[in-house]
Amino acid sequence: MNTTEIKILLEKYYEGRTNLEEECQMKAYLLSPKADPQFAAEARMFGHLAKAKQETLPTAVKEKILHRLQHTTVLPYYRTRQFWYYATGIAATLLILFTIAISFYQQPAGKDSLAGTNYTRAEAQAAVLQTQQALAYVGTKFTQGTKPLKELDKLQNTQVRMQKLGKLHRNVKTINHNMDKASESLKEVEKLSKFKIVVN
Amino acid sequence: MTQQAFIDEVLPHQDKVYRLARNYLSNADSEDVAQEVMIRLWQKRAELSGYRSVPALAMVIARNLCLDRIKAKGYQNSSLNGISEPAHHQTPASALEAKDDTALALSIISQLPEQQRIIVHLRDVEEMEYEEIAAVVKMNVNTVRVNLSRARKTIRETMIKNYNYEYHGN
Repeated sequence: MNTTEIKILLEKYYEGRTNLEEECQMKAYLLSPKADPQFAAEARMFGHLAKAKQETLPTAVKEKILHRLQHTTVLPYYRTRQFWYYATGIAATLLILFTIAISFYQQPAGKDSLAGTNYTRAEAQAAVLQTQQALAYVGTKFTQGTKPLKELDKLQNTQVRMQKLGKLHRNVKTINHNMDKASESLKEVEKLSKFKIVVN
Repeated sequence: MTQQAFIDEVLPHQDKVYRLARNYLSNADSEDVAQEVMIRLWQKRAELSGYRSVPALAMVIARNLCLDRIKAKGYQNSSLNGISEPAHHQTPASALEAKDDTALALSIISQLPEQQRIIVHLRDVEEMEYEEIAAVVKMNVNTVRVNLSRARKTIRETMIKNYNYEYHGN
């Protein structure tokens, strides 16, 4: 491999267009003693990369991994944490549904009681009847209590009449006022004329 | 998959996993990650035949575990966007002082952004195909090539700069 070929390969290498085989050839040349000194920087870089690949996991750690592999068994699914996570969720959901169903459909045997009370249905019906009667009594008394209020209507009528009298009074006052003005006018006319004006 | 088949086919990749983890974590943590990856693969051994590349799967698990550890521990000198300096890497200053080629190369690579560093590692150290690398870093192949190109050019420029500096200094 000559320097021209290496230069072309290096150009491709720096553009990220070389394949693994080309890179391998290039590295082999650059790390060899016959490599051209103009590629010293690349030779140093590839030297480091080759050295980096020699770094391996310590033997003690490798043995530890092997030991763990030999003693690590894959648990069956029903013994995994994931299984118990889902199983617990499903069990909780079923329990809630069961509780709801029980509370809906459970009926006490032998006693016709109302839910949440100690009364029987007959006792409740009797209470409703008594309540109705009490309300009817209150209604009657209320009707009787409104009768005196009808007297107030008379007062209302009287008030209307008084308003009419008030209007009449205002009209009389207006007439009197007009009459006074008329008499004053006549007096003025009498002063100006020789004849006495008599108003009947 | 039998235990022997697993030992023959999967276990040899533990060194690759370890080297990848060393890009993120300290030595002890990297060993833990390598163990954890192998145990996880062993537990999934029944499904391994469904994967196109077991090494790539191992690398994906390893990278995720490393990132989880970094997040959980608030890893020293590390961040998710750019892990500045893995524990075994020297600082650029100390590398220059030592004038050691490997240390210099390590320090240059360690300063690359996380994605570029991992891509360079997977390609130039582990010699993985572009498609496998893309699966590990969750990028498309073209993006992998672009990142690889940028990383390689950065490494070359820094190395040439340092080489000239050393040459003229002597």
